[in-house]
Amino acid sequence: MSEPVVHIRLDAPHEALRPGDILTGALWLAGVAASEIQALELSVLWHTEGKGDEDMAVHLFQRLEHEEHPPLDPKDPVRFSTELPRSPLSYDGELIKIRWCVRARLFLADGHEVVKERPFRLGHVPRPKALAE
Amino acid sequence: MARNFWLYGKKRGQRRSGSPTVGNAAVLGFLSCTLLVGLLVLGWMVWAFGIPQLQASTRYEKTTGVVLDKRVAQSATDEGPVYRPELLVAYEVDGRRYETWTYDAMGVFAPGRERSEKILARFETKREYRCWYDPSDPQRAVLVRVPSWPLGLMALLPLSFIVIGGGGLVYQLSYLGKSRERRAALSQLAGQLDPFDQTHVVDSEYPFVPNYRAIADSPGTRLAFRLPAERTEALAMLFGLAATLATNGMSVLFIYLTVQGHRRGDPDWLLTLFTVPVILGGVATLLYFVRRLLVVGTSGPLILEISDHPLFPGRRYRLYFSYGGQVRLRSLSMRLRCEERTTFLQGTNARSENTLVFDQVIMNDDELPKAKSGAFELECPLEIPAGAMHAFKADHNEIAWRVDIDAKLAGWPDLHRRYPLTICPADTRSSPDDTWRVGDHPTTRIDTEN
Repeated sequence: MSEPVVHIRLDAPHEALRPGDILTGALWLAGVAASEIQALELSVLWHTEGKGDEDMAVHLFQRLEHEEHPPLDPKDPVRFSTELPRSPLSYDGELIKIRWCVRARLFLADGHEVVKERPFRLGHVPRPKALAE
Repeated sequence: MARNFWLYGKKRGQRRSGSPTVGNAAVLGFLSCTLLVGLLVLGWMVWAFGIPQLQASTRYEKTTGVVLDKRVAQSATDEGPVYRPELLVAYEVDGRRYETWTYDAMGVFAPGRERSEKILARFETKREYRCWYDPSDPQRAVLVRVPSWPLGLMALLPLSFIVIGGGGLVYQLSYLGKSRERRAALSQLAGQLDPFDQTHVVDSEYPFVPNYRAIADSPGTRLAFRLPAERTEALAMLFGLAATLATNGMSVLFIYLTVQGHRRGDPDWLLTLFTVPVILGGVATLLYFVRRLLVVGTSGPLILEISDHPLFPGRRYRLYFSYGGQVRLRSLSMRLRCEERTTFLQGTNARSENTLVFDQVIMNDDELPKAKSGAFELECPLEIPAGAMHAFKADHNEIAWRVDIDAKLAGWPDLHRRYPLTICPADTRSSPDDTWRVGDHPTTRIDTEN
């Protein structure tokens, strides 16, 4: 049997979005039966990478339980929509990088989890070395 | 699982290679034990001391008894003997005479015989005193019913175990089995709701941009806002004072010991030799501190004002600088800088690392004209680069902007000041009226001489 897979698609024609834009998209599941699903979580979040310990903040969080009505159906895509905030913007620094993404986490009935990310850029801030004199 | 997990993980900051399941189980076990210990100890204290005290205070009947004898009872423990006062009291209940050795309801032994003797000294034999007896068992009686406050303080210890263990368990269980994203969302929501801790409230207009609203409470005299300086000078003075007191205190002690040795005719030459560098160190720190004190006292305030705040990329602003000291300024440099600051765990140590990612000269004048007085003013333009990253602050990572001022004084140590700025993400609002174009209004010195 194939492994469960989570697909995420963003409606934006390009990956660079601006503050205030409405981020919309859909996620759907493959390789998993409805009876195997316990819950599905969708997050729009930013997190830092680099030298420092990771910081993370969630802008949008949705959790869909299989017991809800109607129950989760792997064949039906789950749509999401959120207005993006003014900050923090995506950033590629020397010590700090700020990354935005849509993250989906599928909880299976047997206790396993499947995680999928779809990164996107918020704003257009050039690398800081281009600014240094 | 793709691989076996280890019960003990190699510590590499946040990237441990152990098992989260085992780790969570260990934390829950530890917190449960802490809670259990607290409950057991508190329960024992209530049963052994609290309930008897409560019964004596509420149920016992009052009567009058005669103290026939008194003694200090002793009990042996692993830490040594412990004592308590006991008095032989005779009293009557319903026509029947009772005699019992007693003092209070708890009967606690404590170290220090003197405390018990002091208590016994308050009572005289063959004298009547008020006492209380248990109506259900008249053989039990007490002479005092006042609760012992040290025991109340001791109850704080098991209570702290209960709070730590219970609170920690509630916290762990509330997050158990939840994903990182769900925990983060719950934490953010809890931070917004906490009325006592507003440090984690995220600004709704510019999330994770450091609080810029405080500047609005600091109006300038010539431009819109006065920028506050970082408190580096105060910290340096505090450090200097502490170092001066410490080193000179050591010098005095060493001098005293050395002189005493020489006066006794038994000089310690090694100590004498070591005293010399200690004295030199004390003198050096004293001179440094006095010099810094004079600089702070004579340099006067350095004021930096700005035409608008917060700032936005691609915009131009005005800066106004004022120096009101008595010592003449020889040169002045102002720079706009951006610094990335990070903190991280390395094993069990918290470390930080900073790096400058932007450094632009605002103005630089190596040969300021001589003035009759030390006072000096100037206005200059400040342009924020169009692609500048906005200020950012999270728990472990920060992007901070500031204006650095370096001033050389004639015959005095240099002055360095840092003025934090807040740059918000680029905005599409129209330019404010008080901005201007570079080239129309270059740096202008303001003549303060009459």
